[in-house]
Amino acid sequence: MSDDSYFDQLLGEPSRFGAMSSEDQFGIDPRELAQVQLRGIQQRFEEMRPKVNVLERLSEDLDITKIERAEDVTALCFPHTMYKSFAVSYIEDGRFDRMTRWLSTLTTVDLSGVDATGCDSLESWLNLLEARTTLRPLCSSGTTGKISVFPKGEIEEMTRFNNQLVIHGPWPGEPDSRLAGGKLDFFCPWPVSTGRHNFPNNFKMLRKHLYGGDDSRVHVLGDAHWDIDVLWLAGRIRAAEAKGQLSELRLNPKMQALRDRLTQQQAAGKDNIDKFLHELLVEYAERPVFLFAPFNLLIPLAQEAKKRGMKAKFSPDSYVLGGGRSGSKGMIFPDDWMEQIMEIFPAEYQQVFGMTEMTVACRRCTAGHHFHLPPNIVPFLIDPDTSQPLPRTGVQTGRYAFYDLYAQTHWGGIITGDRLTINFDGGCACGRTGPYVHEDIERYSNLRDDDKITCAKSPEAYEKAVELTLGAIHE
Amino acid sequence: MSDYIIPLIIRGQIIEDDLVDYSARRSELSFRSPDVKKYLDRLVLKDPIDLQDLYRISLDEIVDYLVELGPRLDYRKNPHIALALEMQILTSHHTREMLENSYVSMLQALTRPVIEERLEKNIGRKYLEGWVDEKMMDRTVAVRAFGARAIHAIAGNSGVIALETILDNAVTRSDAIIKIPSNDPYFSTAVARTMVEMAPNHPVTRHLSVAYWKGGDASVEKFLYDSKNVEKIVAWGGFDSMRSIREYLAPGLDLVALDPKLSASIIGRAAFDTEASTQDAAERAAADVGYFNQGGCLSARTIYLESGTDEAGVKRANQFGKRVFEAIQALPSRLSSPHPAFDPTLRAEIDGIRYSDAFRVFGGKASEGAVIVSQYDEQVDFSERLDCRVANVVPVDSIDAALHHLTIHSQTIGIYPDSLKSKIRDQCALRGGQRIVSLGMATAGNLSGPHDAIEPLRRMVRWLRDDQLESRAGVLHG
Repeated sequence: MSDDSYFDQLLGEPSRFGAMSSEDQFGIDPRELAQVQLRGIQQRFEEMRPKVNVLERLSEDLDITKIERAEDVTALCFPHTMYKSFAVSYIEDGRFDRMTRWLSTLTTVDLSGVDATGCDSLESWLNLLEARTTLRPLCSSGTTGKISVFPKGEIEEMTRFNNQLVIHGPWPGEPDSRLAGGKLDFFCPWPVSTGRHNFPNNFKMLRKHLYGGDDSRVHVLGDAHWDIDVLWLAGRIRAAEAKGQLSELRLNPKMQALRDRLTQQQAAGKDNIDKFLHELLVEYAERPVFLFAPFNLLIPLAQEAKKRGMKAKFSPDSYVLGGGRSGSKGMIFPDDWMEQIMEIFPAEYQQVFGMTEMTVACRRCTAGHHFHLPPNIVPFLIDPDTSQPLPRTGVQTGRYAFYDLYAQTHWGGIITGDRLTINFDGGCACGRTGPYVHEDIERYSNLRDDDKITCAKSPEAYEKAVELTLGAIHE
Repeated sequence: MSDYIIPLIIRGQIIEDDLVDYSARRSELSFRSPDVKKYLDRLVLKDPIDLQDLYRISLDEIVDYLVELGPRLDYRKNPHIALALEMQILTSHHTREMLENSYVSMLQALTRPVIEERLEKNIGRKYLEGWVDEKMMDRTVAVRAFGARAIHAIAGNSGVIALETILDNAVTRSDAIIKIPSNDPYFSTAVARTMVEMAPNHPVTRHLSVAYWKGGDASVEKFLYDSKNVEKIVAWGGFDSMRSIREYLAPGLDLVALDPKLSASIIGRAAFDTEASTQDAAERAAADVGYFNQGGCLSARTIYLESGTDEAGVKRANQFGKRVFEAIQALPSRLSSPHPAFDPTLRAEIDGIRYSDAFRVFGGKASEGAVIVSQYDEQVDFSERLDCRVANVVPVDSIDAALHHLTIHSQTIGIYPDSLKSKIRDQCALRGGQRIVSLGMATAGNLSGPHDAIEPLRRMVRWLRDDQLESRAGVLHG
């Protein structure tokens, strides 16, 4: 492929480009790719600046009118926190017109024709946006308990889905999941089947685009549906609890009903675990499966299986995707967690590095145990204290920022809260070209010195399991 | 990275063997210190009767000792204290100028009038000196405050915490093992070393130990936090460390918990009476936020402002927020500065709301601090992370709405105007606040203590009674 057509496809047809094989994506010469990426950032800046209000204001404040070097864009990268910068009262007072106005400053999609005055909940507002526009917002709960609303569109949703099939596909010396062919069933021990969270959103895409609408091919813990209002309520309860403000939280009848529904769903928890374990370990014992089980879900599942005297015998062509580290989702792993997992679910665990804000995930290679960034991601590291970009050569450690060239409905520049070590020179033994990320990924918010004692209260992480908090709310 | 050695001090002995490496996770400071695990048997005072040497001397002698110690802790003359200051520059949120200022001013705590006031107002001097007869209906009860064997897990945001711990340990005739925090790793040790040089065999010197171990290290704490070895744990700060200490609590072991807290300001509409009152309130609010770089539990973080929440009210709040920001910038450099290690996570939060219609941000571009004015009656979601001279002004329609935000985690509440204080102090107290002050005085602690509702001195001792009955006429005879 010539540079020009590579460029045109990368920027113009991301979902097709992203569906190319890993060999094609990772095969490009790094110097050529750097040129393509710089041109890409320049073009996106030109296109989006007039459309994304916050980008326009930020570039005006910083007096940036042109991107000369790729790292110039780091000053224009949005902190991930920007996608939760609305006022809580917009939602609690039912002012969804204000939510629309807020979101309109962060997307290229024109929301001026969306009249949200009739909406009575976050879910109804998101449904309206999806009915009237190409937006497909992804929501997640952050460390303060507030929900973020990330304005992805149909294009990014499809691109993300295709990427998933490709990165778990073939690469020399590495297991091929064969997920793309739709032959394997997909298992994930997640307690929610449908809804707004990125996991259920992915289940939806798999059911629709991979399994031709056959819901039975995606196996999760029960059939719970968590719309955004549930996530919102859970986050509010967690935050109020941690701040000692539970008595302040007033549940309106709608939230009350949500809470009752959650309680019912939890009561079904044990049956759901029985069913899931039976399907995975008995019914599918001899058949290849795709198991997506981040360790914070897999550890309790292993304990449940052990209680029942059950053990996995995965067929050799099964593909097991793990991931996550102790503390990163509020769960501290037991010291012997790996032994616990390997005892019940012995497998060669694959891992990825990804986040809501990226349209792609990065697979960890077998040869070097590094995460490899696909060509649409232009990675940067910035000094956490000065926010200045670090040199893009050699091995560097800093706050991860990136530009995602696939993004079209939102600005692709993001500053994350993660501390990464990146080898910018590339040359991993696995054969993929371009920069790669070392395994030791940490959130800066988790990186405090825990022996540093002051008399002032410090923030807690709110990402506890929801069941820990529901009992604390009085009717 | 530096290579400091922090000796282990056990009752007058200075130990520098069996060194192990410790480093802070963000690598501000690494140091080496003896492996406490090898000294646990010696670290504890096995037999509590060994406290009796402290009872052979008078309280006057103890006070004399402390008054003599005070001037010896001047960092300009004492190399141990100078080293403590150097190390704290690397770990604290203060500039050198601020630390030097506080290292001088905190020595006031060891002057005779302050010590005497502390004794008299916190516990009653006579109860520390001997048995005091209290006449009751049917008997005379002699009461005395006795010392205890205690572990003090202290906070490191100010050296004065270490100083007061050592002072209280001496006057209560107790035996202290200070567990030093990584953000003030040397000051307690430096004071203990000075005591050894000054009076190596004095009972006060011989009942102070200072050690470092990683907080939460079960192999150390399981042994120490046991009623066989200590009667009291006096613990400051940190949610995690508080939780881990509480796991060891069993009958016979008493916890004096100085739980982590946050503070706030409540500013009534009188602030807008005149131009002068507005400026006065803004400057006072700035002091409560900015002094000591907002590093303490008593530093204000959220400012509830009775400006109203309609358009005009929010405009008033914005103007007020701007004034507070400017006043923070004008604070004297010996008490406040741009933060030397601005929290990057907080920075991301501020950058995230800068272009939102729901908030207005003044400052926060570099490390100068910021004032965030909420445009609705709601705190920022990251209110617990406010630090480094970053405050959140929240407009409210009434004082009642402000009071609603106080919780059991609230410490100091600075109030403007003064006339409002007596009106709302009961409500502040019932909602969980601990200390009510005039706005601008939040950080004006008095060294005689207590600085909030905990009364640690009274709880560090064991209260004994000796009943003297005239006849067998006691009411509760079985």
